[in-house]
Amino acid sequence: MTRFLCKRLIMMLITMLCASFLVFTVCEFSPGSVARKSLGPFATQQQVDLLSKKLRATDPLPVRYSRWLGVLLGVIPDPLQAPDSGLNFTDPRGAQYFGNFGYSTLNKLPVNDVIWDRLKNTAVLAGLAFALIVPLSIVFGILSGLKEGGALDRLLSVICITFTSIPEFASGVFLVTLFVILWPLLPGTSQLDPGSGWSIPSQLVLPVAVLVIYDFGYVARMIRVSMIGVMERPFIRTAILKGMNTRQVIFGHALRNAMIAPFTVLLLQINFLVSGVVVTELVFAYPGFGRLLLDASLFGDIATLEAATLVTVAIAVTTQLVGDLGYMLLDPRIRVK
Amino acid sequence: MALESTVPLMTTAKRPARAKWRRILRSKTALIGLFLVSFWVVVAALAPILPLQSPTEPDVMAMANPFPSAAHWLGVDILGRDILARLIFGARTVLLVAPLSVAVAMAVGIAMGMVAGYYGGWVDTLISRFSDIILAFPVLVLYVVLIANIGPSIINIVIATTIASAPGIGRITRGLVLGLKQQEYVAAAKLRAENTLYIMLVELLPNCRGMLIVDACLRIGYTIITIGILGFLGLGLPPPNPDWGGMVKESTTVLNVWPFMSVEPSIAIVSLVLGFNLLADGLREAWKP
Repeated sequence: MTRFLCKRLIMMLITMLCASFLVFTVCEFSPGSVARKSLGPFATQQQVDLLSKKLRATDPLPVRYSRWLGVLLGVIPDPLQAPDSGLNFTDPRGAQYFGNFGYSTLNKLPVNDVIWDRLKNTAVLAGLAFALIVPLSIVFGILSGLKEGGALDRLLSVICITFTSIPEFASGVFLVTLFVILWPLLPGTSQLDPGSGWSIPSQLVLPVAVLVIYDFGYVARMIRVSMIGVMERPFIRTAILKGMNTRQVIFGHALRNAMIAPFTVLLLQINFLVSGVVVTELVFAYPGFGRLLLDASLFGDIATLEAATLVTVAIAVTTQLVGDLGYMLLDPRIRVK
Repeated sequence: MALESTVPLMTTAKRPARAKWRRILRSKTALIGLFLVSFWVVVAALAPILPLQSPTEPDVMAMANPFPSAAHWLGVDILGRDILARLIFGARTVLLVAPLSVAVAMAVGIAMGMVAGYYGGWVDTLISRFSDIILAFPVLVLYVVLIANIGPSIINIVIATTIASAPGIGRITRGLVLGLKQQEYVAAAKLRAENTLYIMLVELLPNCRGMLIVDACLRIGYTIITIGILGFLGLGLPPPNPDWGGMVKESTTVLNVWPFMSVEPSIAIVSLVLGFNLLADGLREAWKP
């Protein structure tokens, strides 16, 4: 078990290293420099070159990557925070510490001051969505998996497939049209600002609804397939033949077995959910992690982009690990090996 | 020459294949899916000869009254361009880019999965670990980072789709190949000293076909959504091209004037994606062993 965990942890570190290098490489092809974007279109080329030099954006890729890694690990102080750099970048935590993600050129703040609040906001949004997706998809999945090809299965399947075919931006704009413009019940933007005249819960309704609409159908389909597989197994037939009532068969025998496979799928969904979160946060101007990621990649703010990528990769890999561990807990047969 | 085989030649199994297709035609979901997809394919193919307005020329007079009218059946957009024409010409882009991207991604992914599954060992480890790294990346982030940095164009969307989906396709193919390579017909082919490429393409690939076609349909649907998202984020194909996601984005500025302008491109996207998803579902049901 310890060996398994160590192996996974090392894999996770390698994955994060590769992913961060990948981000650096992709940003190499970025049209227009960060300096140009910070200074605006009317700055002279001389000013742009000067800022590029101050930001040390002119160094070759391997140099910048290893410097970024050194700063992150706290091995070297962040050179951009040196007082003589003339950039006025100051981090209250100091220039050299473990987990220093550097300075965001987009927000003009240390990345650590920006990213964690945003992550918390997104966790609230995604957590609420997940809390609704899981029970809803379990109910849909089990009801349609009970009798494959039956009328109920066909109806629920078509509903689920239809909902997964609606992209978040379409459902988001449609819900805004309905509940903000035609029938003004809810706010159209969710900036989590209590002074906007709308309560925080009312600001969360539409973004959560958009995420649920897109994701629940997919999860329900997974649970359905798994449920069908379980219902065909001999022990279910035995249970029915020995006279157990339907409820006992479903809750006592089928459910636990049917949940094993979707459990991992459900956790892989978190990765999928992040994609949906970017669009949803953009539609509702939600101050979340996804929008930070989008803004940073559009601006070329490599420090923020790297930090955000590492966090998402960490979340993805951790949930996979949790999925595997949960799989072991739920299915004793795997534990034996 | 003296030795005549006493075993009758195996007839090619035509009947089960035809039965499979008949089952698809009997499945209502598959038929609806097929109808939706072919509707858009036909409309997109006929776009140049249909009596449409120009999708890019603005009708300035219509801008005062953007609602549906006899001249503009679905109204005009914020720049006075005919929405119906833009939807139909937008379908051309989507139906070119999405299947093309998925085809390239399938080719790369199938090759990766075949090699990993067939050879096993360190080749498998290398390919699988590489795939894990890409799969740990949230898909949309990968798209946005790539497209925002290398710029939106058809080629770049194809590249981004390939990078994002090939590992997933590879994983599916690898799983299928692992099961199939133990089969007797593979051993027979090896015994006949067929080369590896022959075994992969002639013995293994046709037996993975069903699953891969279903997966391709789902991926085309998802790619259409992604292209829509990119358009919505302002990372779609450059402006004169009509782009469904971009049309939804543009309509958000005039929701107060004409709330349903956003609904038209949304319905277009949803119907096409739904078509592919229903088709995938129908094929999966029909081809189930």
